[in-house]
Amino acid sequence: MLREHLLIAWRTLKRDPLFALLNIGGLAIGITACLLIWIYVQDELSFDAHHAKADRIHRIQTHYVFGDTHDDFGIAPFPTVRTLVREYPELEGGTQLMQLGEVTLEHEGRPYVSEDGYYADTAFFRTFDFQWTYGGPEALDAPDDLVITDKLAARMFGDADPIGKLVQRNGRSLRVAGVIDADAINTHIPLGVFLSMKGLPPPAEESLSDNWGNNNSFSYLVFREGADPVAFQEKMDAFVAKYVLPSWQGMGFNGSIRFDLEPLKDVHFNNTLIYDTPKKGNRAYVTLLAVVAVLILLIACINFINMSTAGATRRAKEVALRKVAGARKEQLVAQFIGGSTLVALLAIGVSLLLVMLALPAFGELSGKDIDAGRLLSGGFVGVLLLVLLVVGVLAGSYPAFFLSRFAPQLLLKEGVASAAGKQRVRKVLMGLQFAIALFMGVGTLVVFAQLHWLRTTDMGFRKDQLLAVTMPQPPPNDTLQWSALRTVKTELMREHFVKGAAFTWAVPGEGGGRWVLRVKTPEGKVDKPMPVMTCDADFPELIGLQLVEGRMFDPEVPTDAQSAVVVNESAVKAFGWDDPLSEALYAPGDSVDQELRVIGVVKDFHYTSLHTPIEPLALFQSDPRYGSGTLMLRLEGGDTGTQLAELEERWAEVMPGADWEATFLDDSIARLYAAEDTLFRVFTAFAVLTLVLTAMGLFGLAAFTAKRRTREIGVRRVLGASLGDVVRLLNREFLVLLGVAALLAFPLAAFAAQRWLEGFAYHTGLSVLHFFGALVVTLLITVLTVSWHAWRTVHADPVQALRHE
Amino acid sequence: MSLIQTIALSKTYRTDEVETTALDAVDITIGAGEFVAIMGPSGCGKSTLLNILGLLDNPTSGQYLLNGTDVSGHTERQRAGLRKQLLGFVFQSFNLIDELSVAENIELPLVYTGMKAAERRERVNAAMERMHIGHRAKHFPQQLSGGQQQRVAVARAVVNEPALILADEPTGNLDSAHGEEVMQLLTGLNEAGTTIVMVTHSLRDAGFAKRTIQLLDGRLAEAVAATELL
Repeated sequence: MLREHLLIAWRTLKRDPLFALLNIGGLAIGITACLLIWIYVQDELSFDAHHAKADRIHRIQTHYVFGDTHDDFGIAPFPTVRTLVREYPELEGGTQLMQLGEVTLEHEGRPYVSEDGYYADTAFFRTFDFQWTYGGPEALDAPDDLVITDKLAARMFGDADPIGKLVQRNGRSLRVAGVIDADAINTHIPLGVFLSMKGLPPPAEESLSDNWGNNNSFSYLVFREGADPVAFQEKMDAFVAKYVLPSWQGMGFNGSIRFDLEPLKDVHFNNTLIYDTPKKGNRAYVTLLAVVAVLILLIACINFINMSTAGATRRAKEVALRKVAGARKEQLVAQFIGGSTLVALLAIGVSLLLVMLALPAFGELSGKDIDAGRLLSGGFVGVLLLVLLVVGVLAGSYPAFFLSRFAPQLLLKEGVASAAGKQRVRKVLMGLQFAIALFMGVGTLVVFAQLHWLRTTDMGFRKDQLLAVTMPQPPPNDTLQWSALRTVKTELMREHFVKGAAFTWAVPGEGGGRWVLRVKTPEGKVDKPMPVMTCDADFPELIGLQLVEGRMFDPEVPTDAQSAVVVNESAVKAFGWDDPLSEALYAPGDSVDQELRVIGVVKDFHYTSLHTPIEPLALFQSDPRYGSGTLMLRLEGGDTGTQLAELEERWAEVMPGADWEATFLDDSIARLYAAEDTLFRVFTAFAVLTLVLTAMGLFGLAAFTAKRRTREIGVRRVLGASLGDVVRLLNREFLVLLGVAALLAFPLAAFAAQRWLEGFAYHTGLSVLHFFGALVVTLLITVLTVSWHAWRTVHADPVQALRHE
Repeated sequence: MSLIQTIALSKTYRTDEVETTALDAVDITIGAGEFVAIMGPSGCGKSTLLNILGLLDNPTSGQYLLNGTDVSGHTERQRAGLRKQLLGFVFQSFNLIDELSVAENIELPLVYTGMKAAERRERVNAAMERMHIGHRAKHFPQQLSGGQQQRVAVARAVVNEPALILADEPTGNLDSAHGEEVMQLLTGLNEAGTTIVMVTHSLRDAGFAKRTIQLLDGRLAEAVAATELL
């Protein structure tokens, strides 16, 4: 019986290729979109999930509260992990990682730069599981051990075995003891170069081991099997009171400190902390994409249901005959579900092919490097089975029950009637499709508007034609090398197209450091953590900061470099200063706080991305070491290619051996919104898919409607109806559906879009144009599709139409 | 005992606005082995009567006794079971399934009886031979002429050896030569013992039957005449 059912289902598809194409093609497109999104979501959720102890590892967050301000760090003080592990038996162990930032290794006289360098303790590779190309978890056990990535090993040593090879860093010899595969797993830790913490100079180790006031380590705890991290959290306050607070009390600290435990698998999605690892995911976006996947599959299933039931007249006779022959309803239902399962299987087969073809493009779209091996995972097969169940059985069951109810009386000539049944369900489903398409359309336009706004909004400083050149960082005590950096500015300014230059620690728009400064209040001095920018005297003018009161830094005034500060308007407002030029900030000192006089107030500007609200900001003119991280150059407009080449040439003369790294500020700021950019591209792609699927469903349904009304249209034509009259006639029912769908979809879309926008500190507003745009596009597609069928029907032979039953 | 007996059989169709009496207190009796034609103008209730006799529908009131059993209140499940066992159908527009081959179409009534495949094949072959259509076993309906399609339909009607065949205008879509052929087939089946009830407009086809029942406005024509006389 099963064979017969599948055979007839196959022959039914062959008989009507257009129906088969629309059905299988539409399902295949919907399933493909779902599978791609599933791969993306799985990739996001896989971060750090592979570690054997993942469920027992928690990271320590440090939270400081100063009055109404709080600072939340992804790092903790150096002694935290070892002290906790010593004190609490429910901890199996722990590990910590100190960020070094960019690290330069030398091998055979050539420098090799890694963006991410760390000191890691010996427990690190025993806590976290990586894939080793050479060596293993013991690779940091010796003080001079070094672990690098396979990519760096290939650059430095080619195909040679790197184990035992010696490299230099800041005059120190290190031995390559292990190589890890950088692409094998997803982890929140950007992989680079790992130095053994055992190699820390003893004075540094001693100083750090006792320093509870300096947060510098990513700190992880491993709980024993069965231990409860939630219960353990309650012990952290006592721990802070015992070890951390005493070191702050000598400094007049009057805030509060808290350590929070963060499950390892949540770290990738946490974007709320400062001093945290980069490249973070966004759980809201992952959820959003999962919802999109469900909506797309829903549309594909709606198409399938609508086309199956609309074409029911063709199967009515067969159903009636089978009933006459004695088939029971459940046998007929099983037959049709078998047919829909076959269609689902064919669609899955086509979609697997489409997924393979689309993976590279999807990887580019989403910014992920996804390999086809993911398709062979057990989870993927499970998803396919789920899709088969949903599409073949669930989506197939409505048409199955609908078709199986046809009464056998239909066979006798007086009983032949339209077997199409009530249109209500099909109309509701079509309306739902329209609603989903409109929702996606509005969403896409809003995301685009916000992205455009982020990229083009005035950040309060001039970012055009501004080049940021990364300066090398000499050893901290090498004052000669630091002094030598100053000449770079002078030398590069000799180029005629360089209109201005200034040193700054951080690139404007990307944020700076954070210091805890003190502010005088009637109740006494209050600690205020605040963002700071350290720069030379030329910097404010170079980036076009607008002075509101007072003056900028003056190199002729020696005290400006030691004890002057420029603040922004938000600082004046937050601190309640009536006369800011008579006020001061204070840098906490061991015994005496250093006074920093306010010499100027600048208009608020976005010193960091528009994701973050503007806070009170302090600008310092500091000594070259702390203000020389980046050299900003204002270039004249023109042939940037030639300008960059000439600058690089001059750089090589002035800084021989130093890497030339320069980025235009426009580009680096645009990269701040990479997540939104990815969201826009992915959302647009799936919104287009939604429209394609809706159009396919509309095409099938319009074809059925035109066919059903062939005789009516023939009669109308005989009586004088024009093409326009017929077009209006057929479009009317779909346009009414579209109107109702808009009434339902737009409020939901407005709510969702507003909620999303409010997640940004600064955002564009919702506009009528977003809704109008989505409606116009959907309307156009509807009218074009339906009108085409109207045109075809009008041009058919009216005599044949009048005979049509 | 009669094979078919109806007592005051009535069928009324109701919508929100309209009530239509398709059959009005019809009493008929058909014995086993009879060949009966039911005639009457369009809309007189012939197809409604055939629907009820063929267990495709239930009467609104009255009784329908099939082989002595009152089946008028049977559920669709019960009617389907009886159809499988006792009935075969021949339709005016053949009603073959286009996606099935000739052999598969003929096999259809056997598929739902739970019969094993080998035995089904045997019966199908026998039916095809009887109707001289075996050489077209693998062909599809759209590859056959009207006459050939109706022969396939007749083969399908007899494959499960029913006690009763119901034919609805069996020659309505055929030319006279093919129509004659089909009527000869039905006559042959009747002579072999199968009861045949046939709805027809054609006096010529009715001539093959041994008895004719006339319907008019949902009632037996004699009843109408008698009423008018009154």
